[in-house]
Amino acid sequence: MARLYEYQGKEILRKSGIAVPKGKSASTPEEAAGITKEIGRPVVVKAQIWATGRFGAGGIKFADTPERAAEAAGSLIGSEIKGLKVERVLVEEKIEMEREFYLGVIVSNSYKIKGPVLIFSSEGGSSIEEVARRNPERIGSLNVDYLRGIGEKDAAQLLSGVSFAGRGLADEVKDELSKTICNLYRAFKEFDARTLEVNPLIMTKSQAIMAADCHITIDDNSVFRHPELGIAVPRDMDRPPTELEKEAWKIEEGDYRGTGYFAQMVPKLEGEGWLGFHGIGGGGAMLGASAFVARGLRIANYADTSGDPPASKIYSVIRCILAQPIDGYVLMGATLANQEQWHHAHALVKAFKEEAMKRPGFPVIMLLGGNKEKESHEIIREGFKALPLRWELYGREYIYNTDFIADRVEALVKEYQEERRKKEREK
Amino acid sequence: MMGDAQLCFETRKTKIRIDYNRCIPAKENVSRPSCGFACIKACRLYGRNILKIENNKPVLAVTDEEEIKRLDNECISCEYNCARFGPGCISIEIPFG
Repeated sequence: MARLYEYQGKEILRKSGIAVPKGKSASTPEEAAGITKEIGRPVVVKAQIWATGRFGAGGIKFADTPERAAEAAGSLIGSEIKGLKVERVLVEEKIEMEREFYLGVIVSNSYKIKGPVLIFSSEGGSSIEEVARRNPERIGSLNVDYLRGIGEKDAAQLLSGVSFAGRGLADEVKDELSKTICNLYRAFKEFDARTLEVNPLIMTKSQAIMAADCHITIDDNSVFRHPELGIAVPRDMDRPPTELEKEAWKIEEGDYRGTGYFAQMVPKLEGEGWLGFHGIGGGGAMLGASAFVARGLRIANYADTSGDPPASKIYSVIRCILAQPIDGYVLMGATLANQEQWHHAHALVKAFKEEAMKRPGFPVIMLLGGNKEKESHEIIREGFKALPLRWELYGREYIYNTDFIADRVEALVKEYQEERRKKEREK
Repeated sequence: MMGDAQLCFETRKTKIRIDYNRCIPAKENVSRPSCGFACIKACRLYGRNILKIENNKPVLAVTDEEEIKRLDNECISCEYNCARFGPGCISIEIPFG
């Protein structure tokens, strides 16, 4: 799922007929001042990051004048909030609100539903999960028939099933809410969203309904239909993609032959002891990753080449892994059934043949099990035998013995680091 | 693209070159070269039969450029096999970065 920033989400809502506070995004304090001047009223300056709880973390500031807005923007832009770098702020008019609601559409993966579910809560502003625990009567949901969609009657029915905790709404407000629900669903469908949440959806003092915040994720597979959203890497991430991740996306983009996934665990690798991690499939790879982390090894990235990708794609993913400042490479290839592993073998040999001379002694630990395992191991043994690397190869009998693999990784990485330090001292 | 000195063709994501000046069967024009036509064997086992033997040298079995891109599975095994059993006259370029 590809996330959108609040300012992008609000643009979608605005286009879909849902009222949002007047405002624009800014990347400099000067821009923020200009927007505030244009609005001509007190504003809220909101850090644009993919995280909730921004107010508590100091990511939302109020300003009465353009100068104050510039100050607020200046303190936010470039800062780090919840570990995420702020590159833009949203400057929008401050709204006097009367009440807060929650409105959202999600795609339910429940086998009974497998489709969009509309959720409305008469209590907004706080976590919907918390409201569901405390006051479930304040939440209503509606499973939407994707082909039929929803009309205002359905929306009204959704609202009628929700308790407003003794604070009933005027008919006009309910009508307005019904329209907003329909418009929200329309936006959800039109933009191929996976989730679209407005929290809070507010009622202003003049009883207008307005989206004060929003959170939208777009289905990865639909991103190509929405170039206007400018999504560089359509993946579920909590931060913008790194340059290497953007390069890695080119491997996958438009090439549906198996998976060539690559994501960095942190945007910048500092210090030593980072491990380039390459998995095939989920389970065995996860077991390995847990064992490495338990030994204090730091995983630089997560890569996956499952679903029978061609050797060329696997090779490119390995190149991405090796483009990082790492102290070792580990392959946890525990797929047993759905791909012939000799394509991995050829890719490994090609990548490390090209790389070996640049980093002599580099640890390469490969667990490769599955179809054509014996033949694949022979290709690797033959291809690696003359390479100046610390390499070890294991097969299917080690899939559940990840402690042993982790021990070997730890030992080889340590040897490599010591050797490197020694060489540096001798220089 | 085929010349006297090399065979060069592109798949979806790779560029493959066979240097005939170093290719044993092409250079010696023998039907039983010491490499055993390792590239052709690799193409049959791991690939999609993009290569074939003609006049004692490896050539393209499929000549239409688009058809090569559609058909080839980019197994890159010809490069490996040629290096292992022959003179290593095949090079595959896979652009990255």
